[in-house]
Amino acid sequence: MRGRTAGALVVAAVALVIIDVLVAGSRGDRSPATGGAAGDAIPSIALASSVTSPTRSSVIVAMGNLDEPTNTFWELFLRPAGGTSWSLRTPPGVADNGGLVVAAPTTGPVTAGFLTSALLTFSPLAQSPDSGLTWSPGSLPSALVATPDAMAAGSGVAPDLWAVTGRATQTVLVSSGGLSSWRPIVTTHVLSGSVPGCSVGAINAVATGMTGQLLLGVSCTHSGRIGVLEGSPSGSESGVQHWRNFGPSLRTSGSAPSTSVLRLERTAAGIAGLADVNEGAASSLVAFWLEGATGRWTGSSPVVVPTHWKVMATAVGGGDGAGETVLLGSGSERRIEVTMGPGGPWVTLAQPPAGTASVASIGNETDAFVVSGSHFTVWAWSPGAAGWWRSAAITVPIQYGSSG
Amino acid sequence: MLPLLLLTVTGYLATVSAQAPAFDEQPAPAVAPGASGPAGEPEGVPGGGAQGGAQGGAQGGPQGGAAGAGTPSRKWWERIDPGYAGRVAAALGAAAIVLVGAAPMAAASINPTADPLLAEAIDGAPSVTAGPAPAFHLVDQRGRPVSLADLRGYAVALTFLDPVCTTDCPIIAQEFRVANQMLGSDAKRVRFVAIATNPVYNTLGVVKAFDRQEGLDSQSNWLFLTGPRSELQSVWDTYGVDVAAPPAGGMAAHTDVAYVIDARGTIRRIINTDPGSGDLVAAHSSFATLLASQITQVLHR
Repeated sequence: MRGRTAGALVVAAVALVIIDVLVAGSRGDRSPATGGAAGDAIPSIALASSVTSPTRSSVIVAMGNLDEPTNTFWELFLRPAGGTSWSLRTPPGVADNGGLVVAAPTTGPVTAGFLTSALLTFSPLAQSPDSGLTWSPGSLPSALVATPDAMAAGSGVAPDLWAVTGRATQTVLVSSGGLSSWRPIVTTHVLSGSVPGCSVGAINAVATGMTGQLLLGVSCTHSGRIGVLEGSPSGSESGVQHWRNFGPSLRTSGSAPSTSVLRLERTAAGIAGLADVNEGAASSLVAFWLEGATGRWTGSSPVVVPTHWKVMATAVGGGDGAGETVLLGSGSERRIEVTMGPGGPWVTLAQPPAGTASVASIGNETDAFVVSGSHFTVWAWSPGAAGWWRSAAITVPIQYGSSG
Repeated sequence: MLPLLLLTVTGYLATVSAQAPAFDEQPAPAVAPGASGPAGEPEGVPGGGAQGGAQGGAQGGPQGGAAGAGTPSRKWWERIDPGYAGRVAAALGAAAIVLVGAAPMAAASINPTADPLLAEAIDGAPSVTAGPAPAFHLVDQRGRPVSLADLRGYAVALTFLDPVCTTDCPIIAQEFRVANQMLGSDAKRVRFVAIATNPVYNTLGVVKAFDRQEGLDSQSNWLFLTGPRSELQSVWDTYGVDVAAPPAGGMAAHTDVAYVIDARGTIRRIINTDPGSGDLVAAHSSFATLLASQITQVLHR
């Protein structure tokens, strides 16, 4: 009898499992989309980021209740060149809980892209001709990848716009003069195994080259070379491009490390980038620059990322426009490393304010952004200063609970 | 599913870890002084054991008699330990409670004709009305002009959706899609219409992207209408739909409502479309059933 009872219960349990599986299968559950979720081909790259161009600076940072995805809101702040204050310029109309990326070329409109979240599977876009005062809507057919340079725009009134989309396989799309009509350029599937000098793992960034061409920042497995790809027409009727890696080679003593481009930006003088270099368990960051006039690469010395530390935010555009800044963090500890441009050393700044979540570099000034819920505080530092000083505080009108 | 498994496993453990049933136990027979055979020798052993048992039955009272193999057997239910029976009954009762709760939910999820009771419990019963539907002049997802007058002759299920919404609107769109499937041959007499309800994201491109996302771009009787902001605002106002786009990355908010309009342009039903918890799949199935039934009633009234 005991055996029969146990058997009946086991049968009942199996039946319940079967019912549940059938129900789950029949209702066609859709997994909520998340920006840059685990399992994506692209590595986890900090979205908190900043770009300074000759016309403006932008910074993107997560605010709200960061422990709750639906109450985490990504905010865009802009600061005009020559200005001293940051203004909230997050485009309205879309829940941006998944993340936000921006393409802010030297001239022409600013374009913001929303990463997907919850049940939204394509990325809305917004474009502003007046530095974020007004926005026009658009959309991509699929989801932007969660990297700070997932979009790039040429200069001009109606520039080409490039975007990296997709999850397991990335696709680079281009739109010529609009925000809703896109066509594919290249995919990771096409690049995989076809680029000499780089076993392409993921497309992390797009940028406009010196002649207006598209550049791709990619991850290369055990290549010993940073992956900056340039396409050239094949001459065939199909229009298929050949891609070559013309990124800088690393000086290595042993095996070829893997590299991953974290940032790739057009600057006034050329291209500035930041790469993660991995050799075994060791990770370091290398800044690299392409000088437009000479076409030559320059690389920085590496900044070692200590074990259990991670890159929390990155900024491009300090110094003369090619400077780069990195915010490293581990728990509540923070460290800011700055290089002013090609050939410049990495300098560790004074201990940044507690809670620093993002950074920006404007000329010789470095701004550290501290976020606490709806409060956004700007701390500034410049060479010769005794330390960080509080330059502004903004209360952001976050609508908690507005995203379900 | 985890709670179900836990309950089942704990119920199982409660049963198997309980004491063995009384009728499997073999208590030591009462041994009479001078009796042959070892104490506790199993019943039925030829020889003295049988005798001892008989003696025990005579001398040891009811307990000894119960154990005696030579005693006339009692009914099986008389031999069950009351404590064990109670535990089994409790375990079965717990399982029954789970089944009573889970089975209808599971059935509602997989059954396209699930009872709309759940949807009505969440959103209330549809309002039955008989007022004229306010006119509108917009364009559909292909850019073709569409007015309410163009839809005369069809029952219209009209709702308001934000094409870049991350939560409710995709769910409501799926409910409309399922309701269309439920209508079967009646579906050709129905137009499912959504009006873009986002103050910023209401362009044709965004509306099309939403249709692709929801698999509605191939549904022939689906119209996602949009137009100039001023015209949209007018339609929102006349249909009582509040719309707001909060700053700082918040999702646009709007009233969740659907209207069922008959073939002559009269509003016959007003239905709250708030899907409630996004996890309650049975509620969505139930809402689609509710919507389909209301459309059917309007079609055949």
